[in-house]
Formats: sequence, C-alpha cells, structure tokens
Amino acid sequence: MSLILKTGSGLFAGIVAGGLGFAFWPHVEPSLVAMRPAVEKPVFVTAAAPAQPTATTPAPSPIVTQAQPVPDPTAVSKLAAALASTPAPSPAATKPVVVAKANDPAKAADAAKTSAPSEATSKLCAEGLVALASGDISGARAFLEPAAEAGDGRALMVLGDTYDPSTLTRMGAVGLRGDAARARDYYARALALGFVAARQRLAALDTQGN
Amino acid sequence: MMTTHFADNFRLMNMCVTRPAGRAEVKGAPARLPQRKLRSGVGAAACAAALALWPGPVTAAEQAPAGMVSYDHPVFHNGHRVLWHGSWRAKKAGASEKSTKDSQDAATGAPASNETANPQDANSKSQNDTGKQTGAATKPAPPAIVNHEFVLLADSEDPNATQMAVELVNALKSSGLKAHAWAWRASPAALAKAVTSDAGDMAIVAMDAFAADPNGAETEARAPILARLADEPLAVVAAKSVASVGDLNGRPVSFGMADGSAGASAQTFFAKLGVQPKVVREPLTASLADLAAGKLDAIVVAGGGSKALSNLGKGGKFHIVSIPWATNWRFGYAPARLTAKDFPNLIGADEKVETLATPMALVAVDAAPEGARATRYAPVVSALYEKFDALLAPNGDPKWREVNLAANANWPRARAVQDWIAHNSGQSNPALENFRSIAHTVAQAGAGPEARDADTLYQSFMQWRGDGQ
Repeated sequence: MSLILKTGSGLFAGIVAGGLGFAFWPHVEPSLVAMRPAVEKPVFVTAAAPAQPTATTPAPSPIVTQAQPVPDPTAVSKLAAALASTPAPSPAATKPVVVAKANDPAKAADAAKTSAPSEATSKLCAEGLVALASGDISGARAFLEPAAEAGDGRALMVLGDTYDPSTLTRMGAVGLRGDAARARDYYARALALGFVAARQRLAALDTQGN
Repeated sequence: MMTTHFADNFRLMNMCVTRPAGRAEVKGAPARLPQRKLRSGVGAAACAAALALWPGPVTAAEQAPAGMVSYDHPVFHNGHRVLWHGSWRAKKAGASEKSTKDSQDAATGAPASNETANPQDANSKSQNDTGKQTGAATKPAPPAIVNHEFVLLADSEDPNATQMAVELVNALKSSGLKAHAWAWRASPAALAKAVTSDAGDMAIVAMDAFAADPNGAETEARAPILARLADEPLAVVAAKSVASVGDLNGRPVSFGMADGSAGASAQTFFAKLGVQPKVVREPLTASLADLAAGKLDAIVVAGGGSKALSNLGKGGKFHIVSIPWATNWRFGYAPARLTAKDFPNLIGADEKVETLATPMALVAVDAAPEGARATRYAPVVSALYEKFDALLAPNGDPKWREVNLAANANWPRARAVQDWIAHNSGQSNPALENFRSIAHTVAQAGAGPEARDADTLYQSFMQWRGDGQ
C-alpha cells in the first residue's frame, strides 16, 4: 500500500513539476523564419473570368449630356469671356484659384486646343470610369488624373465627381469623405473646356453650402 | 501610439500582443470561476494536461478550473506550433458528445448542462436554451456574442500595411473588441497557409499576385474581403545607371523576404513585363546593404518609403526606376506617381516618378460564407463600418482617407460585410445600376476597357449623375 502511495505521489510530483516547468517556459513569438514559401517558382495563369452579364445599352436620356464636346476655340473663348463678365452666383463661386482658371480666356482657349483626347488618354478615362463604377474611388482618380492632365475634359468632370460629396453620397460610398474645394477646381477646369454640365455641379455645390 | 516609423510600427505591434484569454459568454450561462491569465500559453496547456491526468474529483466538463484560460489561437514556441486551439477547445470529441446529449436532453425536456467550451458550443447551447424557453418550433436565437481576441496579420516589410494594422487594432479595441496585430508575410502562399492553419483572423494583403497564383481563387474563397483598401505603390530602387526595368533582365534584384508581399507582386509584374531578373530573397536591410555594396542592381519595395530607406541615396547614386503605365497593366494594377514626399532621398523636389500601384484588401481568414467562422466577423464589421471616422484622424495613416468601404473588388465579400451592406444600403437607382452594368461588361470584355468605351461609359455616368439635379 505504501509502495503504491509512494509511487502515486512520485508520479504526481513529477507531473506537477513538469507542468510548472512548461508554465514558466518563456514565450517566443512565432518565428517568421518558419514561414517558407510554398511556391518558389509560381506558375502564372490567367484567372478564370466570372460569368459575363448581358450587355446593356443605355436608355436614351432626357437629360442632355456632353460625352465629348467638339472643342471650338472661338466658342470657348466667348464662353470664357461671358463667364468673366457674368456676376458670380454666390461668394463661394468666386474662390480665387478656381475662378482665375475658369475665367482666363487665353488659358481656356489653350486648354480647348488640347482637349481632343488621344487613344491612350481615352483608355485611361475608360479605366477610371470602370473603377468608379465598382466603387473604387481612389483607383478611379489614379486613372483619371493623368487623363485630365492630358486635356481630357471628361476626366476632369468625373474627377470632380470623385471629390463631390453629393456624388459620393448618391453612389453609396461608405467612409470616404468628399472634398468640395477639389471638386470645384476640377469642375471649373472642365467648364473652361466647354463642359457646361460642370456649371450645374458648381451651382449645386453652392446650394449645398460647400 | 501613431507613428509612421516602420521600426516603431513593428515595436508597437509587438506591444499590442497580449496573451489570448477569450472565453465564450452566453446569456443564461452561469458565471465561471474567476480566471487568471497565465504568463504563457504553453504554461496553461501544460497545467491543463497535468490537471487532466490528476485522478482527483475535478471534472473539467463541469466548469473551468480556476486559473485556466481557453485559447482561441495557436501558440508557437521557437517557430513551432505547440498548441493549436487550447486546452478546452481541444476537447472536440467530448464537446460533440455533450452537444448531442444536450440536444437529446432538450428534446426530452431534461435539463441541459450549462457548460460552454467554444463558440460553436456557445451557439448550440444558446439555441438549446431558447428551445427550452420558447419551444423547439420557435426561430433559433441569434448567434451568441463571443469574447474573441482577433489577430490581424500584416506584412512586416510593408510600412503602410503595418501602420494601418496598428491603427485598425486600436480602433477595434476602442470599440470594446480584443485584438492585436502580428508581423507576418502577405504573399498568396502565406495567406493560404494562414487559412489552413488558423494562424490569424484577418490579414492585409496585396491582391495583384492572387490572380497569378495557381491556388489564388481557392484562397480568395476562403479569405473573403472585409474592406477594399487603397492602392499601394511599388517602387524599384536601383542605381542611376539602370534607366528602365528592362535593364534588369538577368541581373540580381532583391524581391525582399520569401513569402513577402513585395516579392509576390514583383514576381507578378516582372513576369507581365517579360523581364527575368536574377531573383534574390533577403530582408530589406540586407538588400539595402547589398545594393549599396554593388552586389544587387535593384530592390523592390512596397508600401512607400520606410526608415530603412532613409539613408540610401544621399550620395545621389540611386533613384526610383520609372515604370510608365502600359495598357497591359490592368487586371490588378493602377498607375501611381511617387514624389519626394514618398522617397525624399531618391526623388528630386520637383520630380515625379511613374510607377504601379497594387490594390490592397483587408480579408477575413478562413471565413468562407458557409463556414462556421463567418459569423465571428460581425462585430469587427460593425466596429469598422460604423466607427470608421475614428480612423480618419489627422494623425492617422492618410491611406484610410482613400478607402470606400462599399467598394467592390474582384474578390468574394465576407458574409458579415454582405449583411451590413444589405442592411444599410439605400434604394437602388436604375441609372446607376445601368452605368455599373455597362462598366462591368466593358471590364470583362477581352483586354478590358478600350478607348472607344470611354464615351459610352461617360454618357451612362452623366445620365445617372444628371438624375435628381
């Protein structure tokens, strides 16, 4: 009996000692070295394309839109001159930097000369619009900015929308904040290129107090 | 706690690490004995093993012994996984038997045990309780809120990702959740390992390399998106004698550490360029030393500049190699520009360098919509989506200000995100849906959007945007 008790207590003491030893074993963070590449030479394959939806043709719109206005330097100059002589609708619309760009007839005419987009610019614009449609606003800006710099007025308009708080809200953006000042800047530059829809956007920004 | 310093990030991430002490909390379950965190997860496991062998009157099925904690995460020792799911969750067989017995008890009206060992048990127990109170025909109770500690994995060589991980962990903590960040590697292979080994709950990954990975689609399905993050620029740092990426053909280029995010992206875009450098895998610090010593011709870095790069290029020997945007870059990349703000030592004050940006995402690890873990992420999504403004603080990472949480990606969405968006999105607008439908069709066609598509897309966008004005 005593032998059993001795054996039992010895076994218990051993287990407890072992447990305590493990208990105070210093913890080491997972070693990054242990992570080995599973694929040393990855094979590049084309990702399977998801099922394509049926192509949809846009319904005729009652609203007049300007897809790609034909730049007429004379008309743009007249427009710019008219803008220069037209009283500002509100104090907000007379923000110095933006209005200077929009109201300078020489600059407007120069910009109009460069507003015929090249194929590469149009492709960037299309990429930006595709990104925008998926809600990837910052990705859309990355495509649209170089297109806008190349003189694509469509890109300027859409860039304005990517910063317009009203557009972002209506698109259902979550977390992303607008920037009315930047939206205003892009709209004004688009307006200078003859994209008259930008005037509505600017007026809406004024109405909303942005 | 906020800093842009990579080394500080790494330190902060380690500071954020606390020993997991999650336990299930189920309404109606009796309070457990006071619990005490042990110093080491291994210690807890060892004590559990010792007590399990002790032939005394303690029955673990009744209640957790004092001083014991359950472990929801793997525990590593010297790089080896020594404990998988912890002492209590490891009793799967017993738990299943008990769950079956509880179900039988509920069906026969017999009292069920109140012990809950893991989230799955918690849910089944909660449903059993509801069944007892309102009858078996009533609708099941909502999933129990589990006091789980979330592990967020971020690539240790990506300063943007590590910074965002630290800030996200802090935001989750401020919402009452338990979370910590771990330095990790973010390649597709590393994420696949994380998915199969339960090494974490969330991860920040670069999405571009998954399209080229043979198992990418499978990994994406098991690691659905919680949030699409802002694109991150890639930079090829080289001696000024290297004028273009094509010059690096056959020359030694460091892709960073094995299984790293930058390396996976570099593999992908070098392959798309048709350039085959002699790939070297080593840490960033070693790469920089080798570049300075002339042993390497270039290195690829992700996530903008880091402190490790701040001492490089002061002598004017190095620069960022320009990668002009090309039409075949789509399906994973966007154009980006780097300035002196990103790399003050490598880019002139008025200079802009064209490069590529790779899309980033926050994904839920092993959370396929039909899986048991999918429900775990509801509190994370709630905290992230409803208190996102906390991440937009002026001293936070500016990348958060480019995030639209509702953005779609060519990647499955986590169930908790689907639920949140379905619950919070407004009425759909036919014109907006039309614009999206056209964009989707164009994006999926052949080589993607062409120049001729710009007008169609613009018209449909303006048609929608004109609505309501």
